Amino acid sequence: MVHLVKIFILFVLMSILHWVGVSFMGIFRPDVMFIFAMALAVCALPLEGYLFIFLSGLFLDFWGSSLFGGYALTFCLIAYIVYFLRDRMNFENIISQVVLIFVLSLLAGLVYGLISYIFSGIYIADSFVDMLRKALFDAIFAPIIFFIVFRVIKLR
Amino acid sequence: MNNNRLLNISASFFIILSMILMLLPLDGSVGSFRNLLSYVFIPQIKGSNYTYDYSSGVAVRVKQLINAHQENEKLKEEMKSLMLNKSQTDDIQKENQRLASILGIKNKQNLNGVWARATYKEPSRWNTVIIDKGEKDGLLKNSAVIGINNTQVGLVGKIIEVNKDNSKVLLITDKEFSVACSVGKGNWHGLLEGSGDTDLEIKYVPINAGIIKGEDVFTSNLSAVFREGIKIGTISEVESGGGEFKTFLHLKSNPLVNIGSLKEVFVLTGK
Repeated sequence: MVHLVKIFILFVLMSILHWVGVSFMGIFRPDVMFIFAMALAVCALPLEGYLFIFLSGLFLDFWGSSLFGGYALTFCLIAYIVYFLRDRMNFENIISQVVLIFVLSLLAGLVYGLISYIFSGIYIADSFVDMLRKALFDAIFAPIIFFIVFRVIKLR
Repeated sequence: MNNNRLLNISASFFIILSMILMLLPLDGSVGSFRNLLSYVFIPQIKGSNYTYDYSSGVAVRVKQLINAHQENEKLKEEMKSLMLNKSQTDDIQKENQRLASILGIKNKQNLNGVWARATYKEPSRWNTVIIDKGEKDGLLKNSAVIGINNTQVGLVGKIIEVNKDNSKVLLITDKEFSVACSVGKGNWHGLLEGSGDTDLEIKYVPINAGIIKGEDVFTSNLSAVFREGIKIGTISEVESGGGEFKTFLHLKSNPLVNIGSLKEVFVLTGK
């Protein structure tokens, strides 16, 4: 229960950070909710982790205008990959975190485009340059988000 | 193993839930679910927005407060200068009115002379005053000096000392001052002298002259120094039985011009 509360507080904090990025950083902002979801997948228990991974995706869907549930599905699918990899790789060092988030961010862009195509018939995705820029900034800010999440949760 | 099973169940559950949300229309149950989510997603964003707006406002308000304070100090200084200017303007206005009335009277009586300011009263002789005009302005010893009371011209004294830039005026209230005068409607001649006080004494007016209080006193044509017709004052007291043989009236007069508050005087040139 305590862990659930901690993760909820983290979720609120990350949503505020996401708002700061959107309001003041323009196109050079990280996708804080995505990085948070992936950090949860690395260190949280499956049930609690997946609940907030799902909610993180829904948070983006809530403020968006199309395909309500698209980001939630994308985050859930990508998080499954992280859950699969976390016992096989060490994500506690910064390089691993940076590489992980860079790759997953690109993958998430492609997956979201595919989902939108399947469910709405329209391919909704950024251009390759935009996806690359997004992945780069996600990777740069990943260590900070991971550090915060690991410090608060500290369990597997 | 247990952990893997839990992972698979959780992942499946939320993936299916996401798909359901995407498949169902936005109104109806998905809309209700979305409204429910607003209680979780909106408050912190609203709070952050409000905090940002408030803190931006604080910076602006502090800046406005500082600017207002600086402006306030500046305005206080300006106010002081304005009050000083106003005071000076008021003085100038009064002087202007006084001089305007003087000019009007001067034109009427065709007086020739020089305006001068009373600058200094000698403490040792309170009935003399120094004026700021002298020899270079054409002043001569024994010149008549007149002043203004509202719109009337009145005798003030005579020049007893002339320097280059200033002159000394013996006021009519001084004991050493005297002038031949005419009193009342009958133009009765007498001798007006200063008493050393604020009033004037008039001697040698015949007892049967029938002078009463309030009658005017003018300079007489018998005066060697002053031209005829300059008003000196009004009778304030009438006593009979003056002189050795008690055949004269003993009169007292109030000067027309308030000697105590002299500011400008007009010095007549030529009789």
